[in-house]
Amino acid sequence: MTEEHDNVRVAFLWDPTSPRWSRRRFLQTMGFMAAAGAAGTSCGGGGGSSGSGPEAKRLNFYNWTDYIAESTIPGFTKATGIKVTYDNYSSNDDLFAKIRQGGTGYDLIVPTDNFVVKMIDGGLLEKLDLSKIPNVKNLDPRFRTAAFDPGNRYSIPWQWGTTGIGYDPDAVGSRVDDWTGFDLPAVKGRSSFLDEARDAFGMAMYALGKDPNSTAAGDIEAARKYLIALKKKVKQITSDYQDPLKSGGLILAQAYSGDVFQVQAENKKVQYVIPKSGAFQWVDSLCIPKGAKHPGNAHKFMNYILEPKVGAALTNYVQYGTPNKAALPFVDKAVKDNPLIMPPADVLAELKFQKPLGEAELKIADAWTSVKTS
Amino acid sequence: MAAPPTSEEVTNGAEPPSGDEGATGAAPVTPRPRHARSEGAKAHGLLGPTTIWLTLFLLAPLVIVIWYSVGTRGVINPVQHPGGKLNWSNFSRALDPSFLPIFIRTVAYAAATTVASLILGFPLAYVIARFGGTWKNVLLGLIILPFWTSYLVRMYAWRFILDENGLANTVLGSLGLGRNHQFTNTHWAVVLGLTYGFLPFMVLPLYASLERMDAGLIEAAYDLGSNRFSTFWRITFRTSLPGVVAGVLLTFIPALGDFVTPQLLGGTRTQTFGSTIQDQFGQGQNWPLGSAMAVLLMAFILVGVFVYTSRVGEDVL
Amino acid sequence: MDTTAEASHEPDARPVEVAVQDVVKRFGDTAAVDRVSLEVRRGEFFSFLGPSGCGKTTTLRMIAGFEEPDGGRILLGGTDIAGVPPYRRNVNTVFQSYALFPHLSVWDNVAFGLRRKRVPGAQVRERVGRYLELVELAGMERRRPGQLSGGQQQRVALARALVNEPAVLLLDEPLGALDLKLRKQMQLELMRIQREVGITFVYVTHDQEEALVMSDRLVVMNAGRVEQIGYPEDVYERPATRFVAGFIGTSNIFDARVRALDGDLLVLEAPPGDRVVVPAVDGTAPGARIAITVRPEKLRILGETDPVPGGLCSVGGTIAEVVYQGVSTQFVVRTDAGDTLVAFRQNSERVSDAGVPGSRTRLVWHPEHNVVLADPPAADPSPPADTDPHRQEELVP
Repeated sequence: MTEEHDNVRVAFLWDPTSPRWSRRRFLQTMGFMAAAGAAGTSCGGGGGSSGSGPEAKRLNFYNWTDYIAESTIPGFTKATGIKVTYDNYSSNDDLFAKIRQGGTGYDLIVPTDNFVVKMIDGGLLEKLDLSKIPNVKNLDPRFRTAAFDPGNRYSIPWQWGTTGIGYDPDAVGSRVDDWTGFDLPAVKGRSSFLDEARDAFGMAMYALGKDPNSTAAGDIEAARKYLIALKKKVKQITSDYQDPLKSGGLILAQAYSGDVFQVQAENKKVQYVIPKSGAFQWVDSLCIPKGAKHPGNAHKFMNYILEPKVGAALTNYVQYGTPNKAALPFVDKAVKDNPLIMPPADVLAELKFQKPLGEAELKIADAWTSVKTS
Repeated sequence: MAAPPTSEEVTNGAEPPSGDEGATGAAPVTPRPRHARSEGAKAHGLLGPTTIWLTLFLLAPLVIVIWYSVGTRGVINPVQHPGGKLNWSNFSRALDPSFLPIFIRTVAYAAATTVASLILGFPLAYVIARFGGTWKNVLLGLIILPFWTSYLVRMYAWRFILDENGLANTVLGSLGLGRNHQFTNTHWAVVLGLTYGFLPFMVLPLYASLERMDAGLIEAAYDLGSNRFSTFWRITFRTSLPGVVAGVLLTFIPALGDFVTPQLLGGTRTQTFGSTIQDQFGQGQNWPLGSAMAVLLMAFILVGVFVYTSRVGEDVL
Repeated sequence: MDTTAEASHEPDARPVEVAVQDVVKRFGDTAAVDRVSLEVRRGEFFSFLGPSGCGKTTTLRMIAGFEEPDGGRILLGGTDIAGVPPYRRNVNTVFQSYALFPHLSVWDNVAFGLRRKRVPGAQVRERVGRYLELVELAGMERRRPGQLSGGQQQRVALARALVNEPAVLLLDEPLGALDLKLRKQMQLELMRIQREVGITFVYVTHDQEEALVMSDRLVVMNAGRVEQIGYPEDVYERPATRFVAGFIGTSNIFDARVRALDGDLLVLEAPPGDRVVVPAVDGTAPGARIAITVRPEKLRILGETDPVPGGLCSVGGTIAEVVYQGVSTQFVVRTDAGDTLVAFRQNSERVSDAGVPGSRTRLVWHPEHNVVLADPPAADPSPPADTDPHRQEELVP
C-alpha cells in the first residue's frame, strides 16, 4: 500500500500547483513492482466470510489516485458513522494482481469495466444485494444494462469517460478531429499514445474503420502494423502524458477525457476531442472483493454515492462523466453542457466499451508486445 | 568475488606467509577440535537470521520465477501449470530473434553506462581517497546523497532538466545556443540517466580500493623510474582493479536489468530487455514469458560474471 | 659538530657521493630538518641514527626526491639535484613498509625499475635473476608479495632497489618490521650484500645497536639537527654531546667543577678519598663546571678495602642495586658525592664477590675513559647532579 502513497507524493513533488491528479496517473514502475510483489505470494485468499456477525463501523476503500471529491468521504462518515480507510492505486493490472491474490482487506475497489468482467469471471467479486442499494434507480439506464455487468449484479458505476485525443491546437497548427491528427507534420515526434494494449488497439481499429473489439486475426494484424507505423511518428508510448501535455513536451496525445480537462485547468490551450471515427468509452465501477470484511458498509457507500448531490459533487470535482442521472440537476453547467464530458446520445452511440475478449485478449497482448519491441 | 586460493599458495610454504610482525616466530597452531566445533556452532548461530532472510527473500522468489517460467499463461490466472505439466516453450519464445535487437541495445546501454561511470568515477574516487583528508566522509556522503530520494524521482528530475521546455533548453536558449534541442527520447538520455543513477555503485568500491592502497606504492614507483603517467597506469590503476571489477559488476548488472530509465528518459526506440520483461507482467499479459526472459537474463549475467571474474579475477583479485 | 676522524682510521680518499649542505626543511612552523650538512663517500655504509621525529627520514626523503628542501643544497655525485623528480634520480629506496606492488609477482616487482628504463629483455632476465640470487629468493619468482613472509618481502624490496644498481641505495628503517632474531640475521645479510655490490648505502634507523653494527660511519640526529658524525666506535666511546651519550648505550653523566690543572689532566672537585681526573680540554680553566660521561663497562668495582691502583679515578659509594643480566651484572652505586653511577661487570667471577645492596664499594676507572661533553652542564651549579634526567639513560630497543 505504501507504494501508492509514495506514488502520490512523487506526483506532487513534480507539480504542487496541480489541484489533483489523474485517476490514471500511471507510474508503471510502481504498478509492476506491486504486481510482481503480489505474484510472489499467491496464497491466502478471501479470509473472513461475509455476513457473520455485526460489522465494525469501518470501510477499507481502494481507489485510483485522486479520483474522489474532497467532501465524499467526510460526508459518508458524517452520514453513517463509518470510518473510512482510503488507499490508492494507479493501474488496473496492479489492482487485479492484488485482488486475485486475496487477503488485501479492502471492502471497496474501483476497477474499469473490462477488469470488472475479468474479476467476475475469476470469481473475485461479491454479488451485490440491490435491496440494500435503493438509489440504484438513480443510475442512467444505460449503466443498468451495460454489457460488462447487466443488472448491476456486481458493480455500481462510479465515473465514466472516453479515450480520445488531448492536443494543443496552436502548436499543432490546426484543429484535430480524428486519429489522423497523428499524421500532421507538426506533430511528428511530439505525440504519444497510451501504454495500454486495449486502448492502443482500439484506437488502431477505429482508425482503420474496424470494430474496436475485433478479435479477427486479420484485424489484429492490421492494427499491429498500424501501431508499428504510428510508433515511428510518436515521441513516446506512455500513460504518463499529463505533465508533458501541460508543458508542451507533447502537443498531441491519446488521453483519457478527465485527464485532459485537468490539464486544461492549467494550460488553457489544451483541448480534448473525441475522434470522429470513434473512440472507447469506459466506466469505473465500485465493486466488493470476495471475502471483504465489511460488505454491508460497502453497500452503504454505494447507496450513498448514488445520492444525487453526492454524485454531483464527485463529478464537479473530478470532471468525468457521471452515471448518476438524478445527480445531473446538481452538476455544474460547464460540466453538464460540455459535450466532451457528457457527449450527446448520438455521439455516445458510436463510443463502445471495451468488450472482454477472454482468451482472445492474449492475442492482442502478444501483438502489443510485438509493437513495443519492434 | 574472492579468488579461490591458488595451488601455489597452498603448497609451497618454506616460511608461513605472514604480514604481521613477530608472527614468523610463532609456533604452528594446533587445532583443538572441541573448541573448533563450538566456534562452528556459533558461526551457524550468527548466520541463522541471514539464512532465513536469504531463503525467504532471495531463494523463494527465485524459485517462484523459475516455476513461473515453465508455466502456461491465462487471462484470469496469469500463470498455470495445467496437470503439473512444465511448459518449456517460454524459453524458445524468449530466445525469439525478434528480441535480439532489444537485447543488444540493452547490453550496449549497460556497457556505455559502465564505461561512462568508470571514466567519471575513477577520478572522483581517486581525489576523495587521496586528497579528501578530513573531508573524505563528507564527500562520500555527497556521493551517496542521491540515494536519499527515490530513483524514480531523480529520473523525473532529469526529465524536467532535459525536456523540450526543460532547464537545459532554457539555459542554452538564454545563452543564445538555441532552445529546441532534443535531449529526451535519445539513447544518450538513457545512458545519461543510467550513468547518473549507477555512478555511486562505481565510485564506492573504487574508493574502497584506492583508499586501501599504500601511498608508498606510488613513491616506490617514482623511485624506480616510473613517471607520473606510467605510475598511474601501472600502479594506481592496477592496484585498484579489484575495485574496478566490483564497480563494473555493480554498475553493469543493474544497468542491464533497468527498465525505469528508458521509460522516463527514453522514447519509442529505447525499449530495453528489462522493460520488455516488465511489459510481460503488464499489458503483454505473459508472465511465463516474462519469467523465462528474466531467468535467461539472470543466466546470462551469471555466466558473464563467472567468465569475467575467472578471466580478470585470477590476475586481479 | 665534531666530525674529525680518530687517528686509527685512514683518511678517506673515496669521492663524495652524497653531499648535504645546510639543508633546511620546514613543516608548518617547525623545522623538521635544521641546517644539516654531511657527506657520504662512495661505497660507504652510512647511517642516520636518531629517535623518531629527529629528521632522519625527512633528510632521506629529500635525497630520494620525495621532498624538496626549503634551504640548502643536496649534491648527488657532485651535481645539485634540486627539482629533479624522484624517477630521474640515480638513487633507489628500500621503504620501511617495503611498498611492494601487490599485483605483481616477485619477478615483476624486481624487474619493474629495469623495464621503466627500457633495459633490453635479456639483460633484465640476467639482472633480476642475479639479484634474486643475491637476496636468496631464487625459486620464489612467481609468488605474489602477499604470499611471502616479512623477511622475504624485505629481501624483495632490497632486490627491487638494488637491481637498478643506483649510485646510492636509501634504506628507510628496512628492518623495523621484523622480529629481533630475523633482524639480527638481516643486518649481517645487508652488510654482506653491501660489500658484494659496493653500492653506497644510506641507512636510516632508530636502533643504535643496528647503526653501530652495520655502519662505516653514522650521523646522530636530534630535533632536526646533527649531534655527531663519526665512526661507530667514536660515537660510542667519545660521544660529543649529552644527547649522543644518552641515546647510544648506557652512560654515566655527571657534572663537576674543575679544581685544578695537573699537567694535561683536569682535577675535579671530589669528596675526600675520591679522585676524578679527566684529560685536559682546551679553554677549560679551574673553577669551570663541565659535564663528564663515562661508560658503565669502563668502571671496575672494588671492595671498600681493596687497594686502588695508582693513576686511576676512584669514587667511593654504596651499592644501591644489583641486577643480574646473564652475561654481566649491573651495579647501581650511590656515590659519596651524591651521583648515581652504573657499572657493568662481566660475570666471569662469582656475582656475590662484588657485594650486595647496602655494602660499601669503590669504583675505579682509567681517566682516559672520561669524556668531556661539548654541551655545558646544567645551568644551576648548586643542586646535586642526580636531578639531571640525562645522567643515566638507557635506550634498549
